[in-house]
Amino acid sequence: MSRAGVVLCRCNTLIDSKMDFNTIERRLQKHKNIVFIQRVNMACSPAGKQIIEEMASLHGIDSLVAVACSPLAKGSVFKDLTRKLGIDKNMLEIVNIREQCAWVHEYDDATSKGLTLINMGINRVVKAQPDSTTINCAMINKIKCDKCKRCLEECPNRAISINDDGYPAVNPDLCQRCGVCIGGCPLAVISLPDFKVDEISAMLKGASGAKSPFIVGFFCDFAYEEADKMGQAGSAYSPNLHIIRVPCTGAVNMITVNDAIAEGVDGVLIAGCDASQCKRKRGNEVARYRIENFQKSLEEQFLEKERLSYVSLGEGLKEASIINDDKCNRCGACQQVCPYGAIKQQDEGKFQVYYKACRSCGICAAACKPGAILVPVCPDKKIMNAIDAALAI
Amino acid sequence: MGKINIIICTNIHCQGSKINFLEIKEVLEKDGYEVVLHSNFCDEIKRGFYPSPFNNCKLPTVFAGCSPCVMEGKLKKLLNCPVEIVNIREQCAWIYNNVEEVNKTCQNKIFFGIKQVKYARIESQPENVLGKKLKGYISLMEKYGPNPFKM
Repeated sequence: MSRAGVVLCRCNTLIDSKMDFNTIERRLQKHKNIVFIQRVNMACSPAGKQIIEEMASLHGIDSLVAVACSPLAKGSVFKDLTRKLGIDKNMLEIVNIREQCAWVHEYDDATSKGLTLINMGINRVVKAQPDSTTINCAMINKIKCDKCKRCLEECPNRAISINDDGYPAVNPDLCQRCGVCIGGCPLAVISLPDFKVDEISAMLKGASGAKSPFIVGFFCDFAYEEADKMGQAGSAYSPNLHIIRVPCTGAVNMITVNDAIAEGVDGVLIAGCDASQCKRKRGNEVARYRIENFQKSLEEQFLEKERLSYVSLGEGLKEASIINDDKCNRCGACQQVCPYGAIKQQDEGKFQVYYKACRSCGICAAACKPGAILVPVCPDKKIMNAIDAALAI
Repeated sequence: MGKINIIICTNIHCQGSKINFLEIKEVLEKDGYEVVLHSNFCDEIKRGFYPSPFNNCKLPTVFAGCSPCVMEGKLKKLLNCPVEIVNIREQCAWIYNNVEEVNKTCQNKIFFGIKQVKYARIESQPENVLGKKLKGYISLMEKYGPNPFKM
């Protein structure tokens, strides 16, 4: 039986002042797989990490559920910690109750949603298996694979080819870990080291008793970042939404959605980028296509098709780059390198940044030889000033 | 000089007790900056507002405390002025043991932030797209009623 340790981070009162940790602790104590629940002031601090290490070695845990801030903020800290504790990387679950509960919902809503998210996280680590392999790309389970070759068609990076034995094989050098093949596999036999269909399905089982209508959101990294920003800005949204982070919207397998509906989830939202923006090339395109198909099957089951919907987020989230027409020599390098398709050539030959699609990554500015592109969040002047200041110290 | 406000979070749980903040404050004040030390900034802002202790709260502000990834958005919304965040927790207090080194690095980082703050701007708050889209979706789900498989 899995032995999980749960760490509740107070984030120096930023979390526990907004939700009821006593209730959460009391409710979690009933869970058979939990061997300890430890409240710490700051799990990412040296003192916090020391407490977790002591508790982990005292109780001999094989999995850790870190109930804290967003994995985009301090995820690497917990990954390092589990490595140090000798816990397999798959056996760590970070439950984001700061940006997704404490900072966006009222006290009671934040507490009940937090509890649901923690239960979902515990279910994932209980289902997860240690993975001793060092492979860091998509993996195909040959035992279950029926050689349908669908993954070959789905992979946007052409990283999958057919081996001599007729089974598909992934080229680790080409695989971008977008998970589009996972979403497309009809038997769900493909997985990523940190993303497995059966684990996600297990998470959904932990959602019983949640507030109705219970909505599950599969958010790609960019949509997840936007949800985090809403949390940081304190922009409230409905506590009915329970977010599961996925590498790309194309990685959501309809088997998972089917499991969610079968578990009684009222609605499933798949949140990703707008049409041209997908950094994974065409993950959102295939996701929309699959959603359309699944909606038909929902209707066949006499369910409303909107129970599964796609929403585009992240548009205009970051301040767009600006092209100085006087300096621009119309070479078009910016358009070629932009990973989000945000730069378009106008009729008169000028290049323009479509502000909603721009993610302010600065790749265009780096590629622009005449230096005609300004990235407002980090202009060249600021970087040069930082270098000067650093040299002067 | 004097056209920049400086907030330093001195929380002992975050910065430890190695940094001599009073000495740093003295050095900064000698240069004409208005400096405010907070013993626990998180605790003060947990109710979602920050009554500015500065004479002119709209001046560019250097915040010396934790990493921007902890609460950059929250901080910028609260202060509502151009803000440069100096990470003296993860990049200073938590990694150095030598007291002299910690103090020197901390002071240097704050001066670095002072030089960089001129590029900081007041950022417009992101529109709550998620909230709006979700509101419509929830009301649709409420109209449809619970998933029959839940029964």
